[in-house]
Amino acid sequence: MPANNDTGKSKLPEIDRLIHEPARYNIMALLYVIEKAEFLFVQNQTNMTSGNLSTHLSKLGAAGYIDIKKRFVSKKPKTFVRLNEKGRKAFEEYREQMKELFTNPPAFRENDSV
Amino acid sequence: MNTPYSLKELERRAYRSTFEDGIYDILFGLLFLIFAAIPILEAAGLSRFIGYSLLIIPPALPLLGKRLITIPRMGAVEFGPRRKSRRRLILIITGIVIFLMLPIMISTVSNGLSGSMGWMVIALLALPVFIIAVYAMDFPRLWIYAALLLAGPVESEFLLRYIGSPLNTSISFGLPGVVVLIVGLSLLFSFIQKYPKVAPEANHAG
Repeated sequence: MPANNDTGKSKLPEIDRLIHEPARYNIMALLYVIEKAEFLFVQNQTNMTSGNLSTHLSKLGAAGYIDIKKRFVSKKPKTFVRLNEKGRKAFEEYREQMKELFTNPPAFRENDSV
Repeated sequence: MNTPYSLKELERRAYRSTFEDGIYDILFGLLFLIFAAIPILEAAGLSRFIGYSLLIIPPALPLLGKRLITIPRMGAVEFGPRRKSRRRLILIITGIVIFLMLPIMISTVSNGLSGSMGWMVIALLALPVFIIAVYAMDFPRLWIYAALLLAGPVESEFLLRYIGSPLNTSISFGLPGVVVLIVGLSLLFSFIQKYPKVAPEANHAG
């Protein structure tokens, strides 16, 4: 049964589209396993360009998932990012939903086959 | 983008990337070379304590190297509570071991425990710190360095019969020291190439 029919669609969990995007998932995963990092560290670990990373961080920041702090260290501007509680919870929920989706796809659920 | 599925693996990969700079390898290479230089300095008529006082120089290397080379190129990072508590553990245990073992080390040195026996005692004292450091730092190359450190006095004893003192000790610590230093310097060279220094504004979300 295709997932986009009415029955299948209604059974799909609400996936957080903001985290679902691979680049943002990578950022969220990295920030989840560390405490906080400088912009440059995140950029190096995720292999993104600074413009690309900046855009994704802004989106995650706007959603309230990460805290972005800009400060001057030795007169040089530095950006530090950390995943806040809301972001951590959202990331954990997303992973749970995806796990559930893969282990129990909507098309194969007992209720869907009716 | 190649993201490992397991978050634990991702954390370990991010953590171990902070050792890509080879600074700790250079630190251990220098420590070995100082161990190698002490008997030569002593043979040249310098006090044994002058040689030992050189040992305080390499530990300053990570502090300066991380600040001047690694962080400007790779960016600063703070790991989670598990890593922090491991770091605290290594500091506490190293402090305790040094505090307890320093008197033994000083008396070994001042009583002039001859030849490689003195080195054996020193290497055995340093070994627990190495093992704890390997565990706490999660830095696998350190196992090899710990083995080299322990092998040093054994090699020294073996070489004594063929080349005599102090060259036996200098060679048995100097050769691994040079190898470790070369490993560290080549890692540092690759690190500098891999992570070029960025303009301040590039380390900054617009």
